[in-house]
Amino acid sequence: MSCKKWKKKLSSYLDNEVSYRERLKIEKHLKSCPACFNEFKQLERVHRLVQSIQPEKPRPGFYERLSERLSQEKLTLREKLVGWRYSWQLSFPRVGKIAVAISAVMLLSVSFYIWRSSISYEVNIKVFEEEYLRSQQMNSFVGELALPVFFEIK
Amino acid sequence: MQYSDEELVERCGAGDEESFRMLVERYQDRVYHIVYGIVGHKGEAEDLSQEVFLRVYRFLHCFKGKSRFYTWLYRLTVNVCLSAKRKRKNEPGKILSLANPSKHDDDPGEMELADESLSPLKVLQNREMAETIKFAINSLSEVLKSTFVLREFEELTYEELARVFRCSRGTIKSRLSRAREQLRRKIEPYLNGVV
Repeated sequence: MSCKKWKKKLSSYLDNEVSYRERLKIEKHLKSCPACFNEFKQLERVHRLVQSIQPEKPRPGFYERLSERLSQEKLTLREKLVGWRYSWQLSFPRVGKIAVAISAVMLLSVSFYIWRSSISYEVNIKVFEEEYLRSQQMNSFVGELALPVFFEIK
Repeated sequence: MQYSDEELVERCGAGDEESFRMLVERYQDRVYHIVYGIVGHKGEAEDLSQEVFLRVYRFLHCFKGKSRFYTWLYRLTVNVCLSAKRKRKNEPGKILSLANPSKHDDDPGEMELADESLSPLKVLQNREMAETIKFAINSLSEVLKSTFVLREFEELTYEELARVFRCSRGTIKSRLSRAREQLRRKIEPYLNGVV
């Protein structure tokens, strides 16, 4: 394996993110290759320097400031809701509201009527056949008797 | 009583504001440190950190608990930072970076190296080195930088990083290798003095 390929592995070796076998191979190569060893030492130093950077912290009162922004956001939401109610009041004065309510009731009634009328009646063929055969046997027309039986409401 | 993240998230879902406060206070320093590492400006870091927690508040119901809470939070953090960076690129005349720290009182733009030695020369050297590192980190591409910052500052494993960035472990490996190689080349002249 060329040094270029070994060097690519140095970062994960530094992070201890290589398998045991790979670790052994890398260590063996580092012992025999001064260029790779030198590069690894430099990477180690970079890592140590970055690690030694003092963590940045936010100014005290971070939550309080956040809380303020949160309450503003909640307020905006409430304003939107209130605004919606306000616009409803504006666009529908009292008389208009009654008209809207009547229209809604009428719409519901019409929908209900259409739905009821869409219920279909189906012919029960089996019952019809039985009745027909029976009437044939009796050699008489029993239309009046059969009718309520073979129309079955589903 | 010390609640786990998952317990706090559950309580937040039930509308417990106190649990949300505990969650924020648990992560605010870490989120801020990551954001600062990526955007490099204190004022903006504060603003974006708050944006992260605002999003947590808004989208906590989307967190289904399939992964650890902090990987979800860090993903949100990285997304907030990257979209802010993208927006900033489109705004001419508002270019802030680690390389050009603000001179605002609130933002001295200094990132010091922790060292027990207090000799003035050492402090000066540390500041210089810190500036050099800042400059080098800032020169990385956004994706390399955020991967590097999460690895170095938060010590996330490759597996966790892969979950945060929704990519393979191999991609993380390659990104970190490239980031470190670029940093090493940039600060190579300064490395001799560092043991």
